Amino acid sequence: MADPPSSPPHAISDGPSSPLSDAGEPVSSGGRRRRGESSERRRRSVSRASSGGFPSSPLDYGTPQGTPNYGGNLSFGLNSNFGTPTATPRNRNTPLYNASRLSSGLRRRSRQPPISPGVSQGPSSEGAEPQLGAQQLVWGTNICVEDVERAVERFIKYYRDKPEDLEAKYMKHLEEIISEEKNTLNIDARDLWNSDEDLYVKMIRYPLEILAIFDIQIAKMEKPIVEAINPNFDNHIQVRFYNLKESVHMRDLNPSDIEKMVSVKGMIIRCSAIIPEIKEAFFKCLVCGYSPLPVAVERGLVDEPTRCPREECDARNSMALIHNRCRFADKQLVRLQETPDAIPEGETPHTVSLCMYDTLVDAAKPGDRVEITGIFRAMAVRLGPAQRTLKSLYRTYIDCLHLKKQDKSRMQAEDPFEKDQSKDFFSPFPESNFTQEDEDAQTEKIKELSQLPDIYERLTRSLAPSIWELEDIKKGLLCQLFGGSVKKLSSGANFRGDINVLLVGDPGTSKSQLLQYVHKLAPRGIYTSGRGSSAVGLTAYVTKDPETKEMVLESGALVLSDRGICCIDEFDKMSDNARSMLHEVMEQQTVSVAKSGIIASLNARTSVLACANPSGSRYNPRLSVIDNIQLPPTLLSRFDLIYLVLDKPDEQNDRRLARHLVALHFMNPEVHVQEGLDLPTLTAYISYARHHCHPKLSDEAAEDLINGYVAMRRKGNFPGSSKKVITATPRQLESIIRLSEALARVRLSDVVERRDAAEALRLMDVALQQSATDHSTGTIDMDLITTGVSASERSRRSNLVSGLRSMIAEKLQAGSSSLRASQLLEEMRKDSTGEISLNDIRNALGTLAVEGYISLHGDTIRRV
Amino acid sequence: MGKEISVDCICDPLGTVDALFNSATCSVNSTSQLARWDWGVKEFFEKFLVQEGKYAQVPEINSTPLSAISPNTLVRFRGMVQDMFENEFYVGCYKSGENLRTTKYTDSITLDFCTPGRDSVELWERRILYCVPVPGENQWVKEVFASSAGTSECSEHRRSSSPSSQAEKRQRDDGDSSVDVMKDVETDIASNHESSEVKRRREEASTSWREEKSGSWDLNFPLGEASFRSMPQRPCIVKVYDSADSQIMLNDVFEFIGILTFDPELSASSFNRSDADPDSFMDCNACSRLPQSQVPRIHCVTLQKLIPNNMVSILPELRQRQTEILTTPGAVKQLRDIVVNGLASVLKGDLLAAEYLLLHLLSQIHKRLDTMVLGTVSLNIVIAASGENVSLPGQIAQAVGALLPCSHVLPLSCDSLNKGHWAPRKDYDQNRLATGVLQLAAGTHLTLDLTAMAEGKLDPTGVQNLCALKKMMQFQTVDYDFKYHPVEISTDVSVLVTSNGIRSFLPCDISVVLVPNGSSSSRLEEKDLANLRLYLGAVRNLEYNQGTSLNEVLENDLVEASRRGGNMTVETYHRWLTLARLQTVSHGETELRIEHWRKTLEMEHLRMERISS
Repeated sequence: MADPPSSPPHAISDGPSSPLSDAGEPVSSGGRRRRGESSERRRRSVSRASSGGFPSSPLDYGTPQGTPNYGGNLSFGLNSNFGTPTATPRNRNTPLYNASRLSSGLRRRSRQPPISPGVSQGPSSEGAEPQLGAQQLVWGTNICVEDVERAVERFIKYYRDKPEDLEAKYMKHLEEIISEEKNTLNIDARDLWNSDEDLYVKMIRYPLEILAIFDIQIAKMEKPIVEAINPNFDNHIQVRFYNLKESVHMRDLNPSDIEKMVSVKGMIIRCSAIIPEIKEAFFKCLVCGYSPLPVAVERGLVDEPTRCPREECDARNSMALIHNRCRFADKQLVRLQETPDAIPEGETPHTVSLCMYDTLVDAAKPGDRVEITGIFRAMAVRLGPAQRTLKSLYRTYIDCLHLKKQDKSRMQAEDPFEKDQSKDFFSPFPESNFTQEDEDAQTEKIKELSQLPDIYERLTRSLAPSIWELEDIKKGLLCQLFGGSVKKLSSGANFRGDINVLLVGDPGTSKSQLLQYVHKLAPRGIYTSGRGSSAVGLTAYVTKDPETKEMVLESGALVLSDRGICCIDEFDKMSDNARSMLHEVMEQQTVSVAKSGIIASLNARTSVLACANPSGSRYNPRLSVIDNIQLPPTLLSRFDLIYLVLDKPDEQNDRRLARHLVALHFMNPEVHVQEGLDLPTLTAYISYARHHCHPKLSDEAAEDLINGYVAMRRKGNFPGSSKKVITATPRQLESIIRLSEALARVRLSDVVERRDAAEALRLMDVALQQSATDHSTGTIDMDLITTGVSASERSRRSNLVSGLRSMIAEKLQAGSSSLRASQLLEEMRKDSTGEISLNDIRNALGTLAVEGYISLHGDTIRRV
Repeated sequence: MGKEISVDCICDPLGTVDALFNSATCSVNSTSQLARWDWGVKEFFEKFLVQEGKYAQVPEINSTPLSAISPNTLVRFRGMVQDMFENEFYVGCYKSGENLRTTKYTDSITLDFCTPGRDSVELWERRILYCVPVPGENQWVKEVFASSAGTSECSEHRRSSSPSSQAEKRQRDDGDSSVDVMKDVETDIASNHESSEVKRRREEASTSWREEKSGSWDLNFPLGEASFRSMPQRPCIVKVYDSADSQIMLNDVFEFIGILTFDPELSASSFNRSDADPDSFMDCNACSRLPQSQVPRIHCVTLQKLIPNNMVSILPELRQRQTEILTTPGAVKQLRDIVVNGLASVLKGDLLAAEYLLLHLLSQIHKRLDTMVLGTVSLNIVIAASGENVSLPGQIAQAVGALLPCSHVLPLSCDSLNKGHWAPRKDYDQNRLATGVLQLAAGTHLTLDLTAMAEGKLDPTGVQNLCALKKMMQFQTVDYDFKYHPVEISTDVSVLVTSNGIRSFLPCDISVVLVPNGSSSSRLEEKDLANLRLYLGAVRNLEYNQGTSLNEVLENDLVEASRRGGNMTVETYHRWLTLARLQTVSHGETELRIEHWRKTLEMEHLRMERISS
């Protein structure tokens, strides 16, 4: 055998200790190949092959990825001096070769954990091993190695998703892996549960042992495939489980979970630098140049030979570590924090440390939401690096086996074709913390709810129940929360599905409350105030990273609320600059940045919910919306629904309001919420609808919408009236379609029906009536929105201009004396019946001056 | 067992714990069963403290210098949960020789795991809370608690042997020398006096450590260390066991009774660590990095939640007096008159403003409905800008401080707004929650002085702070910044704004224009203060329940008011109903009566008149 007889006990480099020594193998195949294989090393593997009949030691395979690092490669590892059966006789040529190796390997490993409750002392004698063939239990467990081996083989060889599938699922995977030269086999733990509950339970309870058996079995099974498909394949295939039946809340991890396989969801907040961890130390004698076999690292400790092992040399303290011939593996420490939705009220998020190895290193970045599967471990804290005394404290972490990234789309993702393509160990998962069973129950409940005839009213009632009335506004907000569907034409044109809503109204009418409520309901939304937010704060900006001095693109509120709702309070207080950025966002749904050499277009598929106060302290019903809020009409027309939240005195209404408030203050709050949905249910309902429903217009509904739209446009044409008032524009048609789609979603229906169309038209009508009514004629006038001036106003103005023109023609001769505007005002007032203000006169004079009919200096008018 | 242990409960609580543990071990079959209960420790101590009346004998470490208390004794600590560290896994019990031993309620462990018998080690879990002295706690509260804290036998020994002045100078130290100190302390207790040699050594050690360590740790006092004025205060790390039943939330105020431990070995090891060290990355317990001299560790045996605006009520005799006040006819009325007149004298004789101020002081959230909060009334006192009024905001705040347990004055200016983050933020490097001015316990009173505000420019931090402040006033929530997402934490802070104009840029519920009325009546007298505080605390927490008898009247009045026009909005209604409620409780009553409602409307009327004039 290769092992030199003089090798010190600790320098054993194969056999039981090799799980650690070979842990780095995947890395070396993963690109960080060890430089220059030493001759000794080669010799060893050859000799192994001859003894075991495998391309390499079976225990190379017996090393599940991630698990190899168990016993303490963290440098604070437990330094116990037993549990290392370094003197285990290696009975190499017995028929029990694998099993005994395995069992001793397992035994070792199960002794490594600092605490494994209930684990009793090791095997009584090594001599017993050869007879263990019949019933071999890994001590401290109820695992019978042979049974488990058979179960694993059965599962891998015969598991099929569907009985009619031709090929076994994981055999197929195995072939793919071999032909593509990968080294991880991902196994859905639920498949295991479905086929072999007992094995699943064992795996959860004794992951180290079971994973080792899995790896060995895979190694056995891959052999014929390797020969058949890809003879050059020499990767270790490691099993990674994911999708456990139950995932634990981070704060529920407790001492009983130690050494168990757990699955935790969270968000990565910090990653350490990559730590190259020594796996095999290579020594060389400085006196004679002799190098013994590389020394495996045992729990973070390298056993440095004190004298040259070569008998002829035997020099003391002559062994030096040769760095570039040692073997290293990657390790990274990562901290995972609870996702916001898992934090109970009034507490701070918990965090947990993760150890990532090899291919998992750098697989996720801070900010990523992930679900990890791994083994929960505790490690005693040593007082000092060199001290053996321990604190009574334990440090916990999770040895990460598998990492699943949450798909990028937000909670309200709706376009399946846009989801990230999952690959390898990153598969998307929905964000919620539900297990499958909970989810099914929830889905059932949601479907049941959707069948209620009054679900629309019920949802409306559940929306901000403490806010009084405002039924139609709440319905509009509900539509916004559900959203329409995105339409992508083959030409590449894109029609947004997001519904934008603007609330305008008097102060003190609970607009902010509504906003706050919607913000709460759509957790991915951003709440911002127009006051104090700049254009860059809303969209995106380029800054210099203080550490790297590189330019980085930072997202603003609108980009951050991509696929959510961006709530903007005090919209009117926003700077013009910031508002102009909104034009692009609200129609194209992108944000373009061109600054400091970075040119980028970011997605901002966000619905905007804005609220604005009238520019005077109160809404002046005599003025148009535009005049009241002083917003540019171009921006205003991008809102699908504009609601006026006015407070009109109305005895009946007031009385009901008074009753509502008195009840609110003095009654039990539960009494007044009538059969609505609670907040979590509402959120679940909405997100389910957005996920699963993609309504299409039915023919009848389309017909109705067209008719409705035509009718709206026709409203402007009064019989006998020559002036043309535009009541609806194509933008409104799009809005109606979106609204009707959203309404179909409320019912979880994939088809927009006539009633949806009718309700959409009604909602639009209500919103228009409030915001786009020309107060002088009582009709709806889209010009009010699009230009800020109504048709009747425009004709009044032109009348005024012509009146003034004739008056000036009468009073003023070209080149003669001047007139003052106030004089004209008095004259005009005498003539006309309507009310004319000085401002009107000035405007009209301005028009005349532009025409070149008069010249204007302040208030002084001269005829040209 | 009972009697002999109880004597040592204060001086040697660990002995009591051990005794209880030992008797528990006899009654169970397996060690895992021991993890599930506290072997009657909590019950035993509670019985000892309450029934045997030993509560007052437990020293209070808020007011006592650390050096006057020996380690491993029972102490009381009053603090607000500022941060929650990660749960700690520790060796719950282990076998030492033949006997089972426990390390519950202590940090120190001397066992060597390399000895056999490791399989009998059990891992248990405990919660770690970082608690700071209640932010804004007024001096008088400290005095009340300090005077209630008796002197226990063991601390008396300590005091007699070392004069307090000397003891205060010293600080408990960490590091190598402290091992000796620790031993010294122990021998000290045994022999009751210390040798001059020991004294000298300890002083040397403490001075050297003080120079090195003081000030290098951010102790996360929300209002800064300056807020403690003369009396230095320290935070504590409280380790809570078996707390599944008691809900502990961030910013809650508790009185913890527990065992003060001091383990120099542990703190010694925590130094000399660089951040690059992967160990420190893994070491999620910021707790182990904080020096024990500045942040003592308390292993909580029992805890009691305090209502911050009525903290003193946990002291039995004061609670008794509060009940007396409420039940004695006429007492409430009398006290109410005194306080209104007293406040009026501060407010230049303005009785209306004084009434509003009283109602404001009594306000607190009584209901939350989704995003709406009912019950808080933020008050804006408008003071005419003139030379003689410059000191007025300070005087008002002082009066508030004399009446309420927790209050703080925050002068607003561009500088103060631009300086630092007001909302707490998570510091991932330290893995701690870096505090901010707005991290306040529920029931804290905040005075914002706008009179000092001048023109200036707010930088982004300033805007953020202002937004956070506004959000707190409007929705009573503060978004704590966890970098990747905010966490919304509910607060209950009543805000008083003093400004020179009616329209402050902060959203106040009520603005009162101050109209000086020369006749300055009776001032707030020192002798009345004690009763007034009790009165405020008592009536503020009265159970208010409203019969339906008056609903008709209220509805009619509201409808009538809106018909008459004016600025009637939903918010006005809310305001009136809230004020009526406060008016009622201020009279020590629990049901709204018609005259209180009428008085509320009249006050509102007078107030609006002042604003419009």
